[in-house]
Amino acid sequence: MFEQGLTAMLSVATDPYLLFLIFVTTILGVVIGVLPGLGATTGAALLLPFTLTMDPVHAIAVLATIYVSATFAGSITAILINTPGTSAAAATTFDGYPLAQKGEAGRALGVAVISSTVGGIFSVIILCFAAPLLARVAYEFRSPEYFALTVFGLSMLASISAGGAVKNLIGGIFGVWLSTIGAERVTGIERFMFGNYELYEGIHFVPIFIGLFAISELLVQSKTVNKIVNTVSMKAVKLPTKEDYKKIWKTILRSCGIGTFIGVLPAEGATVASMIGYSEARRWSKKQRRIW
Amino acid sequence: MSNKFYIVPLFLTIFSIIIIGISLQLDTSPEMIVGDSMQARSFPIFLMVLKLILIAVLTFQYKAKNPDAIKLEKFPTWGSMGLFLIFYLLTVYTDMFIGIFVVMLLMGLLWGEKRIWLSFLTATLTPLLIFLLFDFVLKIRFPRGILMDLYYG
Repeated sequence: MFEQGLTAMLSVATDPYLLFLIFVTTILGVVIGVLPGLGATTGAALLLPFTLTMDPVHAIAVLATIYVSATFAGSITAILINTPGTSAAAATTFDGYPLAQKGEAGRALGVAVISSTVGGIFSVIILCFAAPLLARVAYEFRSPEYFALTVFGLSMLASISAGGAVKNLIGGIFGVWLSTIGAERVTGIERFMFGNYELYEGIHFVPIFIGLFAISELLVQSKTVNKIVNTVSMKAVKLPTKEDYKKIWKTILRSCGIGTFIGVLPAEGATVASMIGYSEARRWSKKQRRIW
Repeated sequence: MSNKFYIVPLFLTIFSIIIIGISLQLDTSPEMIVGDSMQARSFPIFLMVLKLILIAVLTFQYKAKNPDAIKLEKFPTWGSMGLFLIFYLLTVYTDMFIGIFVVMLLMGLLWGEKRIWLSFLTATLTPLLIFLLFDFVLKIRFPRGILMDLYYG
């Protein structure tokens, strides 16, 4: 049984046409991921019509590749211009951009590439061997557990950035208030819409992210007008050195576990996983405030 | 301690009070619809009360720590924020691409770009490339406006 599965997997993995499709889709996914406003889901939706005529294995490979590569590519803009291309890369801005400002953008991108690759492979291996068990765990996750996870997520605000716990919590409350805009789900009463029916379903995640990151970065840059500043420059992506691996392997392993666990839960996703992963990395870091 | 410290807590307090006021104006639903849940107004009020408590803590922190003086931002920052308002108005009343063109041109000049031709070129090419990428390649339609009405018909 195991041998049969392994043989089938190898025959798929060595299919030249499949490898070509994965290569092309990866490039497309990176392009989509770096464009703020277009994310992994949009990428998959754009490619869906092309996959309808494909062999099922090829179609699934294309959709999985676009999703994974677009999610990773969000960290490219997060590191280089402090604006996450996808919401999942928001946590990357916290340390990635300061590292880029120090002239180490290539190193930051290298770490992002390796971490994403290890995380992806780890989750696939876990999925292969423990999918039924994980599905049962996800099925047992009910409202009290989701509530606990949400409270845990919000409580992380107290420690997630250097702005101070009170300021972070005020920001968090403002964020939760933003989610109340639109029609209330139980009663249908319109809240804070002021007659604008485009707000009926609330404010989507992407405009909020672009507003918070891109516009705030633009305003920060506006303060540097007429000043000599070091611009972010990068010659090439620099893969982590031995010393880097020594520093980050525990963080990568911990984040692999967190990402896989959060990933199997319905309604949670890469954004929640990356935020919890970042918070845990900070908590375990000897420097506390910054991982690097 | 400078009074400027209180600008942020004061602004947040006014915002929270306004939200509580608006929340109190929201309709209430019959008990049989709400059931075990809460009225639409309750959660925003709860959030804003929580926020007011945190603002009070923040104010005491400011008072205790006596941080360095707050510097108000200079003209390019306020001007850039004003340009976002212009962008909104142009997008709503004319067309998003006109908004991008005007704001990019003015922002370049506001930030001290002396080469007007370069600002003009960037402001022209950027919306054009956005349009080509999203409309021709990704097949994503843009919101209606003067130019988009001409294009879509």
